[in-house]
Amino acid sequence: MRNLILEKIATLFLYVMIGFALFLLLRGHNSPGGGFIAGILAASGFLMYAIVFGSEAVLKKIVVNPRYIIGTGLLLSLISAIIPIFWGLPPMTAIWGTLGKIHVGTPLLFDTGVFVLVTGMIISIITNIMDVLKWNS
Amino acid sequence: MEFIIAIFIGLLYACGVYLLLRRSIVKLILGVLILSNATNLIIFLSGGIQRNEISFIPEGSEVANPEVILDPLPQALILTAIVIGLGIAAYILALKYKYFEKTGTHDLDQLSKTDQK
Amino acid sequence: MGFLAPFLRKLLKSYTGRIMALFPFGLFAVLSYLFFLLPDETAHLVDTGLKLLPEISLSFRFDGLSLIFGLMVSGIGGLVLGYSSFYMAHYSGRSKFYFFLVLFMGSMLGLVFADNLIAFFIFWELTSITSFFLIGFEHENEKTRQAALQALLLTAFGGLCLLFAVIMIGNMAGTYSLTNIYQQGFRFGAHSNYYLVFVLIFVAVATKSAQFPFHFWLPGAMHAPTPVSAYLHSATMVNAGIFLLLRLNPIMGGTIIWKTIFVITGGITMFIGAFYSMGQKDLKRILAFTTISALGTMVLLIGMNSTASIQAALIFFIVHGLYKGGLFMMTGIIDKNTGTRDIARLAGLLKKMPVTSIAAILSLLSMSGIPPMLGFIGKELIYDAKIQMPELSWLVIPLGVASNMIMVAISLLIFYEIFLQPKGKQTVALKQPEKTLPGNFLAGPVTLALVGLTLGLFPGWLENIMSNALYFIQGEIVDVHLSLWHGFNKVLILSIFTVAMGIVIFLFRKPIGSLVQVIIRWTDQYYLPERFNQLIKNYLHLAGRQTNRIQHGYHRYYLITFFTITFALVMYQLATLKGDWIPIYETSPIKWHVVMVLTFSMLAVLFAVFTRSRISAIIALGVLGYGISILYMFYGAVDLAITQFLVETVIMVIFVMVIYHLPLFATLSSTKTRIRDGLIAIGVGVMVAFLLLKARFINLEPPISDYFAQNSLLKGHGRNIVNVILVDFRALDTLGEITVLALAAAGVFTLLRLDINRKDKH
Repeated sequence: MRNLILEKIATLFLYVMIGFALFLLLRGHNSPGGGFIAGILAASGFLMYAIVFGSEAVLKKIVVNPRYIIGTGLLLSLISAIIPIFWGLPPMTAIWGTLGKIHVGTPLLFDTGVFVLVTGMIISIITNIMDVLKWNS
Repeated sequence: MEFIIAIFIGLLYACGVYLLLRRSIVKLILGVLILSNATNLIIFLSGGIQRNEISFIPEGSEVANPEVILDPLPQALILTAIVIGLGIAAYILALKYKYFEKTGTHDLDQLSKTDQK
Repeated sequence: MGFLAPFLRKLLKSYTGRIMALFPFGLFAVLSYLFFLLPDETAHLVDTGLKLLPEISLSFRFDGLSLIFGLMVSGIGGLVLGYSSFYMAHYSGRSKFYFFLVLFMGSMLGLVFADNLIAFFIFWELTSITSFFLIGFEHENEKTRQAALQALLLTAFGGLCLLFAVIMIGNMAGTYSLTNIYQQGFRFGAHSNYYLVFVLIFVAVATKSAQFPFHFWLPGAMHAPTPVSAYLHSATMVNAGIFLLLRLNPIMGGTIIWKTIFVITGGITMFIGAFYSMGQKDLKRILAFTTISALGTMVLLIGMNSTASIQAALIFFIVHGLYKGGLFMMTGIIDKNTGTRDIARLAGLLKKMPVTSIAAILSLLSMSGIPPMLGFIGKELIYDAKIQMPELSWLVIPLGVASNMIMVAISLLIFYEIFLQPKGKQTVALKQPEKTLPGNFLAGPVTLALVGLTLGLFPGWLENIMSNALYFIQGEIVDVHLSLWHGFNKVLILSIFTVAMGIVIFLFRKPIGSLVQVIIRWTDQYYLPERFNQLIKNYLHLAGRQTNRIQHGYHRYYLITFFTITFALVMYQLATLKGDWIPIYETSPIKWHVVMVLTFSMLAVLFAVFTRSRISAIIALGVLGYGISILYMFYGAVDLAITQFLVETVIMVIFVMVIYHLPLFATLSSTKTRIRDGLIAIGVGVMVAFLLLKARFINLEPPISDYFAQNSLLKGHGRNIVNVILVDFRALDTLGEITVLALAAAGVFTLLRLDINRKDKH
């Protein structure tokens, strides 16, 4: 039983959510938002998608295994923590540079890592549960 | 207001503990979730709620006024706690599912018997 | 020196010990360079600048003592690595083996060169742990596992003692750096803590260096692959204890208790080791017991604490490392090539494996102390030192001579039984002729034997480094003269007597052998390894019974115990606190819309508690979550509100997905238990509410949040203070938390998938 309208909405919802999540991630330092919120938001897009299309479709959509997404997130955060060592600073010291008017620094990288990890985590949990518990009718 | 919220938390705790003491594993999980929410509220309350401006530094100024804004530290703690709560909930649910699949029971007292070597 | 470890994994892919052997050889070359450069009475201190902890810097100390040990460790290590590339060729898990072997080598080198006492301790423990994996390498075998566990338990126990001792020494000296301690001329022989530290150090040394009464783990450790045994026995592990004694000698040595205890222990160990070695049939076991004997000798010599004796101990360490390493490798070759290590079954190898045999014979000569090997010089020095000790010579000389006689006899026995062809013994068949054995397999024993011979002929090469080492051990300048010929004196007479008696023992080996067998059988009732295992087993049993009594396995009763006790304690504390119970003042105004939300959530929760429908319970729980989210919103915590809202949604979806597969609620408890649980629950609720009200008015420290509020934009470049705290000020917390999240996801994955994978395999 396919429902075309629902499928369209779910696909649209996914992209809107990812876009909105990225927006929240980038502005998170100055306004409400940040890695955690953005991560859950993006994942909820995938959640909707998974409910409509099944978990396999989600896995196809994200191409790589969610485990690697989690790993990437953790790695990004770790890298941002390690970078300051090369400047002779204690780990996790924030390093800031400016790109035009915008401040860019390791905390942003860290936040991105959090975002990627949270997204990957929820996708991984959802797809696993759906798969094992046979929700892909 | 603190008084009311404290009573609310107390009630949440009572419900959570009651559910924890049930033998059904589903209720146990409900209890854990209620308790985690209640504990978040405790942290929130401990930061104080008289000052309840949003904890941002307004445009145009360099520092926030600590007399006005809501304490940001408990917020940061709770934020991560909430997300971790999600991870824990998912984990317990998976555990519970596996447990039920393996033993065919949701009575926790059965668990203590299978637990022995 | 731990730098070897990270490189290792990459190299492991090549699966060859030969390439890795280049590392220790390179190190060996560097050390030899230092060896000839090192002037007298100086020590090089290389500070890497790395700090493990503020107090503990990772700096390395190069002086005569550490160089002697370092040279042995790296040199024999290189040979062992090259040797194992052939020996281990048919084992599975070789990469693991090399990994631990090199890690072990690295930690041993670290131990030898460490300047900081705490770093020393860390390396000490590392050797214990890596040797555990090496000894237990063939872990399919139960005996191997037991032996490895025994070694680990004992040496780790000794390590614990060492930690205590090191901390006490550090506290008394005010520094953990050996160099500083030496420079201060720090000694604490008269200090009241001396005896405690002494006992701790004694246990550490005795367990590590297999001294009586802890000697029994070492023969068990021969379950390890032969290259490991060769390495453990010759230059590392067991010699760490000897090294520790030499290191601490300037600090603690020379007291009466030091002299008596170590001399007696060393003497007993020396004799027991030699004695037991006579009753063995397995080549490796024979060698293991002679190692115990040699270790006893070294401890004895250090305990005597005269310049001559320390000198003898150092030389003997070199001698022993050279011949024991060679002999073990030889055993490995014979074992591989004939399939047995039983001396009763081996014969006639001199003809069949001439190269191995000649190397082995040279090593045996060194072991029995016959010129022109270095072993002879070692033994001469030992006798010399013993004679110079008038107060104890009555004990140590007979013991020493007896042990050495046995050594001579053992050497002769091995020589006769294995290499010659006694009547009535059949030669064993070789698996492949010696010529076809790879060069690096034979290189180990041959090199070691030749080094022993060369050093015996030119002992002068060792003089410089010896005097440097002695300067730091004894604190005085010593001119060391080593030569093969000392002139005709008491020492030489003793030597000749020893060799003669050794031959006599050899000739009467049958009656003596059976006598020893009887004695060993008699002492086997007190067989220590079994005793030790029994002890551990009893202990575990006791612990298990205790645990079963307290841990009955019913989680509800744990919780009930926990809650009631907490309730009682907290309530008592609250009652004794002064001040208002429910402070009315200083509260914020009541927001009625929030109260409405809370009431609604409360009703939802009560509904969730008592409903029979699972779906409604979940939805009610969702209502609670959204209610709390609204509460956050009204109080200005926007980020929290969004997060709570989203998370609650996701949890509900997951919950519904899972719960669909689970049974309906059922009434499992009686009304009575329900009332009891209800009372407990209400008690906890009341306690929490009171606690909150009380706690709100206790402010111990000024909140740190003000700092965040002030610096968020200036230092963190962000206006959202909460987010700045998360990703900048307290990023380490966040890092830990996202790790937890990753683990939770991994946990869900494994829980759900584990069985599916298993089904796929079948």
